[in-house]
Amino acid sequence: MSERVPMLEIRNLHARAGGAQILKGLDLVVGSGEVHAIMGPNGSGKSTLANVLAGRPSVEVTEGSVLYQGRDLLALAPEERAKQGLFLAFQYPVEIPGVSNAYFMKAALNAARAARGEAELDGMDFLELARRKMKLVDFDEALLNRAVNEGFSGGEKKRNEILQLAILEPRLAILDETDSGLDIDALQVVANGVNALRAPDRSAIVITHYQRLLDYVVPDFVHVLADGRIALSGGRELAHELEKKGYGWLELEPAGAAQ
Amino acid sequence: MTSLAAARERYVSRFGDCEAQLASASPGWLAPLRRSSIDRFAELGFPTRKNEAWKYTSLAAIADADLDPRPAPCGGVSRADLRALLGDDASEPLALVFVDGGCARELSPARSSADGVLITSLAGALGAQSDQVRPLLERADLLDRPFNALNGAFQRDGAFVRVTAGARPAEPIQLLFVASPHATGRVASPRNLIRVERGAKAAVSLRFASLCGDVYWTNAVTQIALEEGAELDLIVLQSESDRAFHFSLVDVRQARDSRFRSHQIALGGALARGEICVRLDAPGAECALNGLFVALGEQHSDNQTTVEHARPHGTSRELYKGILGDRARGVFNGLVRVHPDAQRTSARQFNPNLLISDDAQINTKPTLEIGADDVQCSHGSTVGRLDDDALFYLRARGIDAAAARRMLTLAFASEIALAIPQPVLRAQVERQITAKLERSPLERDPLDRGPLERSPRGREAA
Repeated sequence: MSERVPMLEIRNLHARAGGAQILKGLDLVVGSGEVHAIMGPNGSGKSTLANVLAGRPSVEVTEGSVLYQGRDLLALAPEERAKQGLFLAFQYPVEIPGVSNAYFMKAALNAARAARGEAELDGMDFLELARRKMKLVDFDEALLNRAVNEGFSGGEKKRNEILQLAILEPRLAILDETDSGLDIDALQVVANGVNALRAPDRSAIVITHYQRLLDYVVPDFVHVLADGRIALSGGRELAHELEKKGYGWLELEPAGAAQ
Repeated sequence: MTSLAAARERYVSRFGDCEAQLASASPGWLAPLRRSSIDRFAELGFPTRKNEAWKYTSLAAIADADLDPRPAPCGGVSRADLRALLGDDASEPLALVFVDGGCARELSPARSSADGVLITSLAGALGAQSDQVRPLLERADLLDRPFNALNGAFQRDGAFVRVTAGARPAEPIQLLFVASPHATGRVASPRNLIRVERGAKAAVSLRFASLCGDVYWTNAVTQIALEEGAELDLIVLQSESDRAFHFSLVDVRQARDSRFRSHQIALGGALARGEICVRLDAPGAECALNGLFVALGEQHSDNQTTVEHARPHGTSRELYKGILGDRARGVFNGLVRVHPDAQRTSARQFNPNLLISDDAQINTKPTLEIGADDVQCSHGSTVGRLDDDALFYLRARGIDAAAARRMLTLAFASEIALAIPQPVLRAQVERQITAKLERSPLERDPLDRGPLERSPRGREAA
């Protein structure tokens, strides 16, 4: 595999969710080491894109292809994608009563390590690693021994996602509106988590509604998603422009929509 | 003649075969009791499904199996067998071991009574302590259930546990009931009596395990009396073989301000019926009934609970969880009855169930009968599946679908295991539950269904 193989290559992606066609021919190429921001109005398909990439079964791909590090991503089960370094920070992290957060994260880390041919970490080694990462994302250790996300505040759930990001060190991180509902301190934590992973061999897709997060996680590219397609792409300055002008000036109405 | 009627005749006639033998081995007062028990069984017979208490459980299989209830010599189990059977738990001290219904003395280490606990085999206590055991055995109301009556006719041994006033043994009292490799075709009828005297506090575990892969029947009755201010944790861990029949009644009488907690874990048996009846017989008594039943393959697991609030200021809490997979069938029938003068009763009952396959089934019927007006009572049940969102969340973190399903299923069960206060017993239960679920064949993954077929979320399904 040559160095020029992009991290992610999405071609003509069409997908349905909840009985509706949401993605309608989306193209996107994310190179190694790049951070891409995806913005766009509500209902434009941002979360559907994130879910397609992570393999949520309720989202159905009807056309198009996605190559991840040159391989057919859509052919892989969600767990295979994760084991190969793809990570989705959930917009709505799920509460799992009865499964401890520490147990869950250790299982996740060891699944990834096994897939990379590395030895599994035992409880002590895992805890040492987790403690280091918890410092990075300012995470309350007490939450590690609670059930996954159970009774966590909104901010704690998001921090929990970022802690997992920090522990799992994915090749491709996808953040699905991780910033929404967060105060400035928490935003900083999210940014730290993402920025700590910036490296020539890692990439990130930051899906957000607001430009705010992009002050801390400075993207290489900004895309506007509208009606299931990338309507506009640009550099980081595009985010500021969107913040000032909103989406209206882009005239994003589906010009040639089949009606 | 129907097979149920034929089976009744057979058991009655088998009693005739061994009545003299049974009488020769026990004190004289027991013979008429056995006789009245078998007479009562002859009247009641094997219930049909027209009987409300047996509506969802057919006894055809047990009636068709030609099982022999006559006492058999017990033996054929060595310490090595027990070690192999119990694995990690083998180092735990067992108070008494019963093989095919009889006490195996060579496997039951003598136990001192220095800590205020007296543990003997019932066969021994019948003569020496008849003043204590006789009133318990002679309880006529127990005979109203046919299989208790059958137990009354054929019972010849069991455990007699007495925790004397004020005693607080630090270690749980562990009783083991093993089906030997020779149990095939036989019925074991253990009868246990547990008395926790005034102000005493103890934990007792009844563990049913099997070295027999064939068809046999354990028909156990356990009577428990808690005196004033007494406190008892009862752990019942039922891991019979998957071809066995297992019936067990636990009957509890509670005096003033006594506290009873049961933890019933039902994992084994082709057909298993676990029944617990608690009577809060004096003001201020409290009980908590926790239960977990797991049925897989073709198993049928029937769980019956009754709480009688007979006197004021009683509290009952009940949580029974069911996990049903493959083509298994589950039944939960829970009755809380508040008698007219049981004012200020507080009763809660909840039966959540998890179906982990499309072909599994649960019939659940939580029932409240309230005869007093100043009470706080609630009851309910749910039937749900594994939460698709939770499964996806785990898989999206690299955890295989099968492992994710197991993790969520164990998580559902863990609440019941974690409620067991005694660490050694909790660990035993956790190991057995984990082993049971790891054996389970994980069927097709509901995550692979289409977008419009999503199953209801477990916590929301009603």
